[in-house]
Amino acid sequence: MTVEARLWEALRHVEDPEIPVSVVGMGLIVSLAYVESERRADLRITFTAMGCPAMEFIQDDIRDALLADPDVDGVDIEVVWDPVWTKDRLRDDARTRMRELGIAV
Amino acid sequence: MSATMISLIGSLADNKCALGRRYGEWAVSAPTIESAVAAAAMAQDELGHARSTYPVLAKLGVERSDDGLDAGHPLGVISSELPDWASFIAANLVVDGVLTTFVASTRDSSIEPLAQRARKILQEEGAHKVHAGAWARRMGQVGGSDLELLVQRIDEMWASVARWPGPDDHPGYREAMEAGMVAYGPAEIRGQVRGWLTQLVPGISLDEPTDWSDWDDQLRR
Repeated sequence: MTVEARLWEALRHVEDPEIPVSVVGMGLIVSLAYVESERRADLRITFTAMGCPAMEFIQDDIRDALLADPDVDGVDIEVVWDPVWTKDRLRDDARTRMRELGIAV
Repeated sequence: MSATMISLIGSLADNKCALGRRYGEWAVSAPTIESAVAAAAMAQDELGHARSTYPVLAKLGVERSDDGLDAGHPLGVISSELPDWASFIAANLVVDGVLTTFVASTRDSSIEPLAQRARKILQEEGAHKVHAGAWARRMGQVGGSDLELLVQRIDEMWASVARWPGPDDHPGYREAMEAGMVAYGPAEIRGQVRGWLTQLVPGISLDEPTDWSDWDDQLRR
């Protein structure tokens, strides 16, 4: 498994604090790249709302999860607003989980 | 970078910050539980827009603090608590209306960080416009003193907020348009908001500002 694949797997265990769905399932991760020469993960993330009160918690959880990888010494997170998050970014498994929780999607 | 754009972006953030605070103050005292929830949600949106807009200034090389809720120099009409629900709806219609129409003019701005945020802000502002429009129609149908007060509050807000974009022939704004930083100018912003409001609220006539002698292009008022 490549480092990048491991990092994606790690992100699948980082949940949105408000809904028990991963940040990957929520479609928040716009891009992820591993810079081998600097042992750094570069991540671009968006959020469902600009006023999301959990933005900093989520970034802290992501940073912790990625730094747990033995090949990562640094994490660079950039918050972007384009692409604009819509429900279309939800993954199918996240939609299923949200419906189980009684959340209309 | 254009001094006019720096002024507009900084003032946009300041006013969104103040508007968020004003909305938030009504989150426990709106006339219906649904509007109290809407006020809280809109407050959260506006504060998020402010928090996301200040970093655009940093990207343009301008240092501005976004510490605290009283940052900057917002318009006088939203600098203190809104006295009644008609003022809340007037702010929702006029202040949010003018600021959002400006944001719409930056959707494809050559200032890429601004354009990126504009698309997200416009997505979220759609619900604010629905809320404002629904309440305006409701108060219009009721008529009487409720409508009279709404019209008075809209007039008061317009007199101040219509000046925010500035004079239509402002050289800095013209340069910003020519450079593709904004798609249209102050008169077009006022015209779009005026067109929406005069259809929505019976009995208002929103004049184009004419006296710019005391207008401050940094404070935008």
